[in-house]
Amino acid sequence: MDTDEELIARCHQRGDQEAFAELVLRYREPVFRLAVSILGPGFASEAEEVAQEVFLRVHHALASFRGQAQFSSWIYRIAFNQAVNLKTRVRYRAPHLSEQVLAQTPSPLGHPLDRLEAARRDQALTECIRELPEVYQSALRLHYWMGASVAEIASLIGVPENTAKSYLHRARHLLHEMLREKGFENV
Amino acid sequence: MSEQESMDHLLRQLMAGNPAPAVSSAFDQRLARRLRPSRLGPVGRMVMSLYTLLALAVSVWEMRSQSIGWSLIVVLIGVPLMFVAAVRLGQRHGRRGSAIRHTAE
Repeated sequence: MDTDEELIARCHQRGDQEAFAELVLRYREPVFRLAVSILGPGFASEAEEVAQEVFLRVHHALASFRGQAQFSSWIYRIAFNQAVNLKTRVRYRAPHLSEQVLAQTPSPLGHPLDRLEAARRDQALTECIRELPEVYQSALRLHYWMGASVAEIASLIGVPENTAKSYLHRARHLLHEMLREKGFENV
Repeated sequence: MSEQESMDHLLRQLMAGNPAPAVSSAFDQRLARRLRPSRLGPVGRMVMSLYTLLALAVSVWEMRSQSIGWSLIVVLIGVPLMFVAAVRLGQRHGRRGSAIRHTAE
């Protein structure tokens, strides 16, 4: 299997579209996952649009890629910035859930009051996640939502593994504090 | 249960209810369409531009010969041109910003 560098060289030298298609095939899923981890649940189509823009940019800028950094770091950096820019540009309104919907949310707990309490806590937790810094949100969603390992998170957000681990640790700590401030003492 | 363990548990529970999305099957096709080079090369564009200018000049000359006022000529030519420009702009924004679509389901 060709390395990224070999594929890029083929794109440069022969304008080989198959080589570019191979790069797309290799990176479309991680780029999409990174974008959706920043934008959040319910924004999959926007994340896909971000991924499309990323590959268009990469295609146009491939000639200027000198290989000082790894191709993967370069493309993930573009994806991260694109997704954060989109999030800042568009004023997202958090999906509103009524009390009734919250009360109907399935929960392993049996008693209706407990279920309502759990649903309220989940809603508060979702809001708290949205208040975290972007990298923490991304790390959390990649890990808990998309099942990414610490190594994958580190590679996607471009930090060493220990830093990714500490992002997760600090995010959990911050969420715990925020939930307590919102009155959820038993977390 | 420690703070970290309990948050770990809560986060797993919260996110388990929401299946992780994946890239749609139309992704590659859409990208290929957007990467396809424009059908007109630089020479083709120049020829089209010259033809457009010539057509405009002939139209204006013909309308003037029919004693149509300048203001009406501007409207008759300007409105369709603005319409075409608006459609093209809309298409470009539509492609870039399906992003703005609100899918708060």
